[in-house]
Amino acid sequence: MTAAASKTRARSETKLLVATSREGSTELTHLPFKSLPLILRRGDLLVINDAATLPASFSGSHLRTGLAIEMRLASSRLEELAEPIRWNAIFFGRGNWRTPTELRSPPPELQSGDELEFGHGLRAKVRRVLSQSGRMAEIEFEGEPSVLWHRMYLAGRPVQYSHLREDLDLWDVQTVFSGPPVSLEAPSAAFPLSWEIVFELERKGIQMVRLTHAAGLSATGDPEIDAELPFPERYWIPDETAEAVNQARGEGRRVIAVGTTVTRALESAVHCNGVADGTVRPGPGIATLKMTPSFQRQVVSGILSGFHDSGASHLQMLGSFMEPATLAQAYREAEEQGYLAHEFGDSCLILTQPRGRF
Amino acid sequence: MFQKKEDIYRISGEALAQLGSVDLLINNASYLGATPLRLLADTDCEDFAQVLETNVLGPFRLTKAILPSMLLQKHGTVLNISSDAAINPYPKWGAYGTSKAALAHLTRIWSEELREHGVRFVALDPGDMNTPMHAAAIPDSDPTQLSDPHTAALRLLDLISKEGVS
Repeated sequence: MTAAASKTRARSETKLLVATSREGSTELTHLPFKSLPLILRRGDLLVINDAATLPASFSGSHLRTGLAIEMRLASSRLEELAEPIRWNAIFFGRGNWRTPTELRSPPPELQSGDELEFGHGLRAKVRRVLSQSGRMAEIEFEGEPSVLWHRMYLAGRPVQYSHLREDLDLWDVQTVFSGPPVSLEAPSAAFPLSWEIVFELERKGIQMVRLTHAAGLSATGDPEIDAELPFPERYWIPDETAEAVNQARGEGRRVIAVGTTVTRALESAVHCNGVADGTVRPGPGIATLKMTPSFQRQVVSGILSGFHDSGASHLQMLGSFMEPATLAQAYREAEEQGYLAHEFGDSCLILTQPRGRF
Repeated sequence: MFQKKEDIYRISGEALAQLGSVDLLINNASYLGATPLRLLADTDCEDFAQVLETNVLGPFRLTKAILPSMLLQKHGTVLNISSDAAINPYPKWGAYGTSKAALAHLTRIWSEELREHGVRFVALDPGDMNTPMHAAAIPDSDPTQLSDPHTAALRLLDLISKEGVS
């Protein structure tokens, strides 16, 4: 599928492929995205991620060698949701996002204790190297959180990939729900949503609730590290969201996740000591779950999402909503109809029958 | 710093990182234009544009960045600081007066669109205050006749904390 290469693509052009599974068969429908309120029905519960996206790419210098380095924050080391100090990060050498990540030059050799400088007073220290390739390491920024947030916003820029034409600005990586800045990449499934559509959904009796999920990096260019994706991600589920989800589920209504981040948070929140009991627990958590086609979903019966690369962990997760063969068919059909992939591309809504209570 | 679009998410991001959510946004940053104040016929185009950037687009952008947390929690207040120059066509206050009139209208439209969604928009005039901006605009005014900005701020907070102000 061709990637959407421009951030300025009009939201009104977004296409929506609706895949509805019922009793073993799947029906595919093509609509303009703004028709979403026609597809959903009274009683559906839409769950969105209100995380804003941080500037998570920092270019600077590796002080021991004086060489250029790019650092991309990959996931937080700390449990607190908005905690800027300790991170796992991916490193590249000289260059920028215009080179595909898998072709980027390796970073200078990293050692524990190495110091990194990114301008605007932002400095970090390498705590330990985490991958054979030397591309992943745990780092700690210097400074108090309040100063640190300021410096990160001055020194950083949004993470982006080589399928795009233009530099991304922080405005380009926010959704209409952006609140706490904890995502390292945009939870882009919500990009085509507008408040006009949300208000229309509300008028139709479709309830919308939120959670906060700190989306991590989606690709690193290093096969050894990519095999570990998705990284552990912090999330927080408000009491009223857990309540609404559990009620909807108990009544056999559909719970529709806007994006894979929301799916991962909700499905993680039903696991307690490794056992899933189907009840979403409110509060903070860390999603370590990897959803594959064999994954048994407990909560989420539908997902609104973008189109992404085959093989990506994203597609693995979609496989838990739809037979891989049907999913491949849906992708083929979308491709024929000129759908575009990636964060500024088109949308796919997969709806399955809600499961009854266990 | 409110004049530049690219600075907005830095401001809102730092605030939301540390506060989690925002219940009250006060857009008080504003710019008079070049002083001493001039007739419109003598006002530079660039200076007029800068006044609009700071006094109209700045509050619009910052509101847009902070608003989602208010809409999702279905409550919140945006207070835009207005002026009597928004209503009265004072000579030599062309750029500032126009910007404040636009801000007042912007506030009314926000309010119409989002009232039923729990977010309240209020424009209030704190009156003439003893500030450097006032001194730059009217250098020969008597400071003892002007209100103290701290007192004015407390009065505004008191006003918006009362129900039904719109």
